[in-house]
Amino acid sequence: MQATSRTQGTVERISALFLRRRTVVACIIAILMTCFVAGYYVQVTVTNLRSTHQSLNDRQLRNGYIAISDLHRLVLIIQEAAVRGKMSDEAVADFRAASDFLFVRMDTFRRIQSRGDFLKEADDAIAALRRAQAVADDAIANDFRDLDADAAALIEHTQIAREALVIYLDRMRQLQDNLLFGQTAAVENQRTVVWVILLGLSVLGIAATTLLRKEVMAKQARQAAEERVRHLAFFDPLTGLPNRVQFQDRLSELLAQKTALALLLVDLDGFKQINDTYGHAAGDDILRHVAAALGPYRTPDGGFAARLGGDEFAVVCISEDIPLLSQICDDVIAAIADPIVFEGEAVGVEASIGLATKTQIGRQVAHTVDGLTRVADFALYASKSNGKRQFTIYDEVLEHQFLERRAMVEELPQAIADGSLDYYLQPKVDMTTEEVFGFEALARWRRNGVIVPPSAFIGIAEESGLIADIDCSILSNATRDIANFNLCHGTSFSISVNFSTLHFSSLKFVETVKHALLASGLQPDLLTIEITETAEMQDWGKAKQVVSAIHDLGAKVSIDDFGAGFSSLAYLRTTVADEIKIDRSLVQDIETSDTSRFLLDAVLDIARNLGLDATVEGIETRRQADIVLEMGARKAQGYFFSRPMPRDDALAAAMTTDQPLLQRPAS
Amino acid sequence: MPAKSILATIVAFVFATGVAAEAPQPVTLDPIEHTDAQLVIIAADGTAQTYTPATLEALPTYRVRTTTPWRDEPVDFDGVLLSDLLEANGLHLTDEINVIAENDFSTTIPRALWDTVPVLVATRVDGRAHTRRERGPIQFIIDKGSYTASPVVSERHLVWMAARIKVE
Repeated sequence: MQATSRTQGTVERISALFLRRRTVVACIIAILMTCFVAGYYVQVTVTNLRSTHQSLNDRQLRNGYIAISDLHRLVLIIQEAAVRGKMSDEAVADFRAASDFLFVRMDTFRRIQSRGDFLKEADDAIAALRRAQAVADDAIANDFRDLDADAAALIEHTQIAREALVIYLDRMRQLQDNLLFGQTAAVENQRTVVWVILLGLSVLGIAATTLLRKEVMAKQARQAAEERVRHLAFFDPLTGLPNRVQFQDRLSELLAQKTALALLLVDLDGFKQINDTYGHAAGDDILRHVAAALGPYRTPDGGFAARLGGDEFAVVCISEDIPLLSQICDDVIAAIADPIVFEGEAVGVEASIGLATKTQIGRQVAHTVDGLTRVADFALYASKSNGKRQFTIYDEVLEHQFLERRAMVEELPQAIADGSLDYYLQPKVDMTTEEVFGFEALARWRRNGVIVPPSAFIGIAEESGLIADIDCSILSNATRDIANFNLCHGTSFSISVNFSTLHFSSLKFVETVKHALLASGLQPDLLTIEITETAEMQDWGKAKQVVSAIHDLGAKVSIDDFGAGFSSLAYLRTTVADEIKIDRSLVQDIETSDTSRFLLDAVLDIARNLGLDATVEGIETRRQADIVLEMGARKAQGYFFSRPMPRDDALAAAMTTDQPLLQRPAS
Repeated sequence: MPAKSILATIVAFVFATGVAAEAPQPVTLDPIEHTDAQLVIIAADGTAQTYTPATLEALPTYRVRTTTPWRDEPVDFDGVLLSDLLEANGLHLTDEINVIAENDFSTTIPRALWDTVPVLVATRVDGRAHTRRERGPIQFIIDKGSYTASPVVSERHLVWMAARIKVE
């Protein structure tokens, strides 16, 4: 692995080196210089070879040897004649012919020599041959009168000529050796040049190939990355379905093109529990399973499925045929409900669907992606509210609710600002002293002259994020009013304000409480923050930090609706509450049911054992009040004592002492 | 068709179309005294026919004016055509002949040569008897145009002091 890394590093460095223009220019110059020097060297060698070759050819060598033969022939004839003591006619004819041969040979020799470069050895040989020829001609001209002298002279000059020819031939041999040596050297030089050029070209080729490969790979990587980016921009990487961006683009186009169109918003029921129970890998498998179930609704006419985020999916159908769409919804719910096997265990999930069609949207809702999605989401909300694993078709009734809800969302900020969203006070009673010791502030909205109960708008406020403003407004107003009242009348009424657990995810909330206490001047121990329990509280650790910080301010914390929530006992374990408010559901049957009484008694016992104050809510009859009092409960709240009333009325009633509370009829 | 025949055809075509060689001109020669010499023609079967310069001139005689590698100035060479000489001895269809000189020089002449280039077996120079010192008495001559143009001809075919023609 390290070796591979080092090799890659070397290749990278070499590639970087060759990517510099200066390096490339230097390489080209070096190769050109090498070729030029090599070419010049070869040219010089070839020139030398040509020069040597001009001085030497086989005819020159052959001519030298034949000249020696001709000399030998001439001498042999005259020597034989000298031995015999007489030149016969036949010998004379042979001598003449041999002399002629020598003459022609000498002429040939001279002519061949004159074509090439000057060679002194050749000239010497030709001169020697000419002298021998002259001696022979003299002998013929003198008719061989002194045969012995002629023979001696001819032998002497022949010997000189032979020696000159031998020197000449030796010179020729040297030239021949030089030629061979030069040829060999030229071939070797050519070989060297070829090697150098091949080496240079190989290096360049390798470098070019490496660079080309790197460039190609980089280009492929870029293309893959771009393709990946393009895909990620428009597709969900987990399921492969179009993502929200593509969903919005395509749905926008379809809304402009198609007259009939339906949107199914699919939301999984209990997906969080699957993630919590089996882990996120199982959750991912479930999401892929859902995507596979929705995949078939991609149709050639433009229908498609998309993942909008989390466990929220969408299916766009190019149809408004309600029976067909209903069937699709049923099929989708059934397909999603089909369990998958995860690590050997069957894991199932259910889905709720909100269905909206283009033509069903009224004029008050924009025919846009946002408008259609909102109404489908509203239908989905209805499915969830009605028990899940079902689909709801957005119709006139839903549209009315939708518009009402939208109007509330739009009006709520103004209601908070102008005070039309106010609070009522419901007294909290000490049954042993039969006195009011405090109040619970309950939000009320005077909308269009009608008092709207919290159940009608708190959920909307939570979903729209306005709940924080509402709670803070009531906190601020109630603490201020009670503090002023206590100051004016010398009372010590406490005030309880409800807060959603959504606030308990941030310490910022503590600052809000602190500011309210400082602004109002209320004694901190007269303020109780009631936690309205919901199932959505995620971060128990953070909630505990917030509760501790509230305690540090001197305020109290109460758990509202205890016994009716989702995880009341878990609250007791993780929070440091001062009080529990026992839910009315545990009280309403205590007059007739032993079980109810037993349960209420057990809860009161738990509170006592944990050192918590307990306030029993929902007391509506004298009998209930008596039973609760007999169980040892001291604090209570309910219609039997007083309904929630406008602030001034409630405070005025609390100051009235002409009739004991336990003897009052419910107002 | 044998390869040599094909080569001969190609060479003939080249010469017919591209070579402006001077063809030997027929000439009538008066008898003169020649240098003593012999040209013996030996057939493949061993039979021999001996010619002197004079008896050679009994065949149709021609004249070629040309230089040679050993003559800078052109001269008139008289003699007989090699092709006629071979035909007279029934050897004109043989593939090649071996020519041997008095000084024992030896060379081979292919049939393509005498079929395409007029080779004169010269016995006279400028009307005189050819001598050994002038590369006679019997010398094979090819005019310079043919000599330069023909791819078949080389200097070694210009045999001087020719003594024998032998067919293997």
